[in-house]
Amino acid sequence: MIQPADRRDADGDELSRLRRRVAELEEQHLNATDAVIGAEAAAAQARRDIEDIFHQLHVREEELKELKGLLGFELDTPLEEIVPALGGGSRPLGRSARRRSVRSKPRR
Amino acid sequence: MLTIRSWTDPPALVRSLARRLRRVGHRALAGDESITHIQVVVLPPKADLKVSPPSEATRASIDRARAELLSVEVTTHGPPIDRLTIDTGVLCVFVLDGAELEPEALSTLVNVFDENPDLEMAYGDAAARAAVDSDGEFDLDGDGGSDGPWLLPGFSPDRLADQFYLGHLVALRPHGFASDDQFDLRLTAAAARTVAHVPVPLYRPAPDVGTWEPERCEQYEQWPLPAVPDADLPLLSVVIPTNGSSRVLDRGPVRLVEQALCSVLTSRYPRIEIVVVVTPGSPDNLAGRLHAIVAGQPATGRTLMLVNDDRPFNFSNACNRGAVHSTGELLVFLNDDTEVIDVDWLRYLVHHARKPEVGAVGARLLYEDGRVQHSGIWSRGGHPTHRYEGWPGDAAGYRGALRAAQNCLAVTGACLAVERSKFDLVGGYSPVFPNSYNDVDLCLKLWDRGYRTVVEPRAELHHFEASTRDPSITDDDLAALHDRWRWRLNHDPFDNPNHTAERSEEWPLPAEPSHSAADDLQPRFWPLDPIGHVGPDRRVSSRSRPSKAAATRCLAAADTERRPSATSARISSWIRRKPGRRPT
Repeated sequence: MIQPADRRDADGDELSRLRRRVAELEEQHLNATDAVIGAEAAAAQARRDIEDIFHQLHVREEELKELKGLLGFELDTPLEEIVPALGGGSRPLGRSARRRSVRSKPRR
Repeated sequence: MLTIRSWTDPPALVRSLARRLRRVGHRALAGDESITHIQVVVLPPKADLKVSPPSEATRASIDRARAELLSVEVTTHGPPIDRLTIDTGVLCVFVLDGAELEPEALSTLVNVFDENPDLEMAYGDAAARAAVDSDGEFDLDGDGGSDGPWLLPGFSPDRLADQFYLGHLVALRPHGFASDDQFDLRLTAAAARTVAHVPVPLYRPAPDVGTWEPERCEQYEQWPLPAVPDADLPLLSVVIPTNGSSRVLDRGPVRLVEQALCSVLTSRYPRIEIVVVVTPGSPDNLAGRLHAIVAGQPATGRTLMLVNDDRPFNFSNACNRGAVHSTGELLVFLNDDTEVIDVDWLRYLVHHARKPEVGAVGARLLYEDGRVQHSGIWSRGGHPTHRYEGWPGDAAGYRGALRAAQNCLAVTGACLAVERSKFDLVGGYSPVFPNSYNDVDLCLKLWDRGYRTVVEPRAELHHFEASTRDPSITDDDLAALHDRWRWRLNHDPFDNPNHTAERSEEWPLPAEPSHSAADDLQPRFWPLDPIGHVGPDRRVSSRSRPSKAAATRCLAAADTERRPSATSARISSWIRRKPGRRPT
């Protein structure tokens, strides 16, 4: 059956419009999929970064623990209690620093 | 138990191996490892790498040599083994006749296999051939006429088809590969599912390397393409984004996309659909000129489709738009500043791209003057760069790297083939990368879903690079890539950790090793562990899909990279004992 020319044109236009719409949706689907995969990769990367940081923290803690063990202190001993034993004096660190700062001022 | 088997000249066997094997073997078996029997198989230099049972005369000769060996080294126990029928708990080490094992070689291999029960195959680097100190110790600096150590890449299954690049020592855990008549080392290696590359020297190559030498051109078999009937080749869509720009080349001024289109039309491939994505700034008469070119060519089976993309230029968006309008089962993304050299280029790309476990496939691209522009991408210091860029077009590359198809981290988007189903699965090109690194991101996304990347040097094109857009790469581009793939880029599995940006695969190699820590010398495993989520829609064959145990092992291996294991401790101590090798 032969369709009238104007009807064929109308069908063709509608078909073209639908094809363009399908292509748009397919593009949106590609971009959405990429966004999901990209977010997954970024999340995995962030997890690895966190693991690395925790590992470095763990290594540093072990090193600190070892150093404190050499000095005979427990891990949770405050640093303020350790420093005097190393010859840093009995004054708090901040005060000592202030004293040095005052002394370093030029005399008029 | 240490057993030596030889298919080569018995005196040579005694000469090359007997001096060391007793010490090496006893060290390797001194622990309480699960491997209780090491069988060293000495192979002659044979191109086909096939082992047939020796003849009666040869067998008698070998028996005499074995008796001689027994009297000299007392390392052979038990009855002679006449076939490669091996029980569990056995490690089979194939060595080329004349190669000399390092003292820790077998113990290192035993440790690697012990710590990874699923491991089927392992290979390692080789020390400098002629660089032997007076005390017989290994010297990495390569003085005295040495061609330097062999620093091999990670496992590249697609390279094995062209080149047996694994060196002169391959260790296998034989899971019933008993053979009555013939054993093919190449096929067995290519079929291995789990492979480790140990990036420390395990042996010193044979002085007269014979045909195992990978840098000999005759070694590249370059297996011919399978003869696929034209009717069985799928419809292929070539997507070319363009703004219709022109450029003056040595041959004169040309409109790039017209030149690219003309060259694609000459391809020896039955059905090609060419999709040109016209971006802003294109001349008005471009469509008519392109249609005229296609109409005027004699070949059949070529169709042209023009697609407009009025958005601001984004290479990823343009490629995606071309892909969704195309209908081919296979997609080939092509820059408009390229020109086909080899008319069979599409057949080569399709050959790899249709493999179920392969994702992106790239070609070898040459500058206009014939120098190499692209032969795959590797990552040095976390920065993706073109391998061998600027090398002469006829160069073989490090150990034949420019002659053989092989796996690599990524390939350039200037010429990239991928099956549509795989392209759709990973969301195509990412618009997050409008100019640079969209190709690297696509390859890594495919890789994360289990598809490896291949570069095929026989598919050759010219690439008049960066003639159509700004070639500069900003820090933002690299930062965006690192947000997703920094871990992968920092550990390129197809590069040797002893190579760096400062010390590439060029001769001569400096004396000092480049690695910053002994952890870099951990064995590297295949299959590679995925970075992100591996969902149920993963479309890979059972061969390339890692089992749950393998995935667990891979993750454990990644974990041990940060926490040195007994193996790394042994390797580290081994390194420290070598002169001039101090981890910095």
